Amino acid sequence: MTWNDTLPTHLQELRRGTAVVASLAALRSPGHGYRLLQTLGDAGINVDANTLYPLLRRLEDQGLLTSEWDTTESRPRKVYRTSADGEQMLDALLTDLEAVRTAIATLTDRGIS
Amino acid sequence: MTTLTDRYVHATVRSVPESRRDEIAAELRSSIDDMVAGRVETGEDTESAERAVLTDLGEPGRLASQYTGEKLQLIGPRYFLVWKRITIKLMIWVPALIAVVSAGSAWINGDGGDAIGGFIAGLLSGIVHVGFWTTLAFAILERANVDSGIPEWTVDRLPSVPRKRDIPVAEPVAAIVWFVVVGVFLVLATSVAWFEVDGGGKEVLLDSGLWSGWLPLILLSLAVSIALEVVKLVTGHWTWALAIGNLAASSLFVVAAGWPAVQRELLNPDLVASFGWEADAYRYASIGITVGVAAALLYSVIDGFVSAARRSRTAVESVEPVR
Repeated sequence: MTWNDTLPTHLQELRRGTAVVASLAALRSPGHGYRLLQTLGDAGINVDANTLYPLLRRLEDQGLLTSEWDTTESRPRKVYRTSADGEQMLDALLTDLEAVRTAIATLTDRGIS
Repeated sequence: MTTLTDRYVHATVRSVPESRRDEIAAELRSSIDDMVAGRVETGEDTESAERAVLTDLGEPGRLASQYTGEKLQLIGPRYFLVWKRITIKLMIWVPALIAVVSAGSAWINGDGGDAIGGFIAGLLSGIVHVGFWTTLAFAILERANVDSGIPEWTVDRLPSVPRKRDIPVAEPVAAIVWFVVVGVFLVLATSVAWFEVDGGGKEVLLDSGLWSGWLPLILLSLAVSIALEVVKLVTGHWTWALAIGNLAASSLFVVAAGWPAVQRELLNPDLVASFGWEADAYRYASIGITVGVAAALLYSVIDGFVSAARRSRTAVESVEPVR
């Protein structure tokens, strides 16, 4: 195993779960699936389409997102929005993310005490 | 005309619950259309854009499993170790048991050949049954969202650390069985008459006169060998004492069995007379068999000394500090 082989695996491990946080955060302003995919990609969070669409479905089932069909344009699109429960969940996840970041920063500065 | 997208959406929703099919199909179709449109905007033609988008989305079955949470493995990490442990345990005795039972029933209804066939068929079907049913049971358990009742692992279930052995258990066990068989054979062959001779009547195979001469020594060498094998079984190592004992027991056997064999005093003379062998052929055969047995024992003796030497060397090395 070379560095180039192990890096993608570790990055994947590190990024697991960030798609949920990023989606809940981005969908505080409503948007449809493809647009979310682009927004996340532009922001530097690369999620595969075949991961994101089922994820939106699950978050909706869990009540963290609400959705409605937008029929004003030529093609109907499902527009998602973070629900009140979703906001709470996002807060909890962000708090934990921050705790992890602080912990890592401390460890990086100090090493083993 | 059905498009590739139609076929893709159909293939995906086919394996999601019926109540959600329309909903997921509509969602998926709209997302695919958006992605295709996005690619077309950058100048790609519609057909290749569609192909690229569907290729990116990947195998429909995999995508469907993401929607439904269906497990893509037969037995996952939660049950794998239990499945493996139970399968190995059952594989050790169930196929053997079925093989013996089916060999037994084949023997009763037929002959020895049927019994062998029954044994092999029983063994194979036992292996297949154990493999299939345990795997099926655990695959169902994996999917049923119920408490399996399988006890949690605790430290009390840790196995004890095995002592380090150079000699596998099977080796001395097989040797003991072999020596017992040889001993029983010698006793029976010198006392029970089961060899039919031409003139009618039965004769013993070996000369019963051996009882007052070489046979006690042969049996003594076998007894010593069995004792040595028991020591090997218990300690798991060759030692110099064992190697020397093995040399002594093997030498005793070769002399006590080989001498009468070469002298043509091993077989029952009455039986030999009824065979009408040529004297030379009989003598050479006797010598040949004796040499063969001696060579086999010599190999075991050398093996004993070589193993003992290797062990004493590693024992010394492990005491010396590593440089």
